[in-house]
Amino acid sequence: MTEPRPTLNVAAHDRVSDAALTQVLLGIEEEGVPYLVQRSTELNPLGLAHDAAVSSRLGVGVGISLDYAVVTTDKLCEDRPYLAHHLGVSPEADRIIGSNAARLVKRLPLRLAETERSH
Amino acid sequence: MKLVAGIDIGNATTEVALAEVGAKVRFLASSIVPTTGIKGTSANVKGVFHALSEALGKAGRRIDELDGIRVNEAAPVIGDVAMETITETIITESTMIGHNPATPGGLGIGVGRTVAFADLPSAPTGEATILVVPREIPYDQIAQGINAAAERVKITGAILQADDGVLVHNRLTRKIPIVDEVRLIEKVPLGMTAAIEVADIGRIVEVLSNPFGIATLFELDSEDTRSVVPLARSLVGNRSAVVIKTPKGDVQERRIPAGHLTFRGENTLDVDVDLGATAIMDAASRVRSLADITGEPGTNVGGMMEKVRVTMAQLTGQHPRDIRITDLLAVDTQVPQAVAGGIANEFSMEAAVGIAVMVKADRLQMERIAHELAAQLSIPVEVGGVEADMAIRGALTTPGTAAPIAILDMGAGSTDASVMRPDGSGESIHLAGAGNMVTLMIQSELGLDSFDAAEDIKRYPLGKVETVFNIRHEDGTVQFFDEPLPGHIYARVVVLKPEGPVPVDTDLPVETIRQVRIRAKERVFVTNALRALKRVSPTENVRDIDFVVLVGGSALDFEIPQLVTKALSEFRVVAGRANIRGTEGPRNAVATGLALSWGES
Repeated sequence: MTEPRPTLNVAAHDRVSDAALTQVLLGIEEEGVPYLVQRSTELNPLGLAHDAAVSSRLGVGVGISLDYAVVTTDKLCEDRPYLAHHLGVSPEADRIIGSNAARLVKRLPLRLAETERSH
Repeated sequence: MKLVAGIDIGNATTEVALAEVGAKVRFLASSIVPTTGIKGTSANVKGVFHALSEALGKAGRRIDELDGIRVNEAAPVIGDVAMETITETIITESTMIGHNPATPGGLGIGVGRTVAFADLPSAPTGEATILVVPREIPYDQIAQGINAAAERVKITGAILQADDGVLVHNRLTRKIPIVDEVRLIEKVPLGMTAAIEVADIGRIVEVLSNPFGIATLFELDSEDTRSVVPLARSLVGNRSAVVIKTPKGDVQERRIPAGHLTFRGENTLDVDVDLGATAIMDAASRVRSLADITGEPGTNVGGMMEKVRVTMAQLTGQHPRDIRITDLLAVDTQVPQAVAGGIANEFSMEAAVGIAVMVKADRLQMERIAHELAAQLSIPVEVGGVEADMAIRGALTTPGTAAPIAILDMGAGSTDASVMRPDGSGESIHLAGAGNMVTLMIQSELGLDSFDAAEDIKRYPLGKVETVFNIRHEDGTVQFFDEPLPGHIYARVVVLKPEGPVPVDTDLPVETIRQVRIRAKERVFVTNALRALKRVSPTENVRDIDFVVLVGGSALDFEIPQLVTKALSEFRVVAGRANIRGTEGPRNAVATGLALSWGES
């Protein structure tokens, strides 16, 4: 079996529409980071993000479900992700979520997001 | 035995040395609090009271046990700093865009006539075209439009307002260079010949930053090539660039008249501020017995000199006419400035001169403070001793020192030097330029918004957050954390404050910021240390002073004392940070001196 190509992994619940993912994926693409979208029946965005990060060879995953977008790395606990946002607040905000996930991979400073949930 | 307190009210802090004075002097406690109000005003009393209570508390004594208080005869000096930009870059009719979008699209060079995206269907067939696209048009429509027109119109490049360069590029059938994030896209002139260049990742533009490269693309003659030099120069170092040929377009670099300074002494000299720091300092050194410095009325430098005079006049109850500016330190610096007429947030490093001035008055109102204090506490309060003499007395309690000794008191507003010769005679001087000047230089060279942010950079070492769990310090060592570092500092350069890392609001790398910080400290404190010691040395030669002790707030800095020690070691002078009474470090020198002198009066 060949190693998978290094990608930033985006795991989304089955019921999340493609349209809802678009801006997040565009944000990743504009940063030039390769990504892979996985669909899942898992409903918990934290679990989705964690699994995506662990399966990513770049060590960063995005979990999308229940109006949340969670960004985390393979080094963090499942219940304490790095960034957690509401999804769909605005196209610009979704774009920033994707952009920041990519910047986490690229080790670049993150862009300011207004949708971050306070922990 | 008498219980006495020496109190030193400084520009930034108020310090107390509490001692029992009998046949011998025994120190009980010290304290340090921020000075309340401007030094030399009644507002200081509150801070004095606070500092006194703190020291008494530490020693387990009560305020009514005090037999006397001695306050410093504060050196009546006040410093102020200002920055004057002396060059500016102006773009007329938007001849260029030179910036660093994080993610431009494609790469290479394109030349063509600028056409608005909406006019693409009517663009002339076969003509080389560069598209100008406002934010309203989504990336997929841009890509579709370009792909559809590509057969008919020769599209050689695109300028986008939104950050969509890569998205558009990924959807093109024929690849073109794309410059994005051009904020004021409506200012890009249409129907003009333009050249666009996007460099590969990790590279910078090579053709548009070369005058002959521009000449080749625009078929310029030798005379016109001469005129594009400032344009090419201002594009050096950018990842992407656009040059637009308009009839009147130009990039100019011009010098701003900043006014002149007049140095009055036995002779009088004028010097234009825009000649730079070297010319200013040269003029200053050629005036004998400098008595006053004035700025040309109606100019920025004139305004600054007037402001200092008025502040000092209010403080001392004198007329501004009677205030004399007796020293000035000028330093050349580079300041990032927004380019006038730029349309993509362009910045240009402009030359500037930083100026610190120092004013001397007859006397600060220490007597009034002493009266108020005595009235409130019902304890005798006297104003004792010249500040510089007291500082030397205090400094001599540093283990390993002896007269002849010089002290350099590096504060926030001024650098003071005094020397004590073996026969006990002494001399002291006050020079402009100290901690605040360093902060101002850091702030302007890094283009920071706030003085406080610059103050942080001055005071604490830097680091870079490398991963979610580690910070690399400026010396290369790596520190790991148990808890993930927060997102707002991820991958950023941070100031390592005691309460935690604080992000620095700039894209510059750690090493650049560190160099700016160290250079600012050297140019103020090393320069002033040498200037000061030359003046107090009996032979005007720095070598003829054996010991130099550094005191004052800036001596607490984590690197200023080392920078000065290193510079002075070249003159074989033993210089180092004071350790007052072997316990206090560079603090409390004057307060200690005041307490020590009690027994003798």
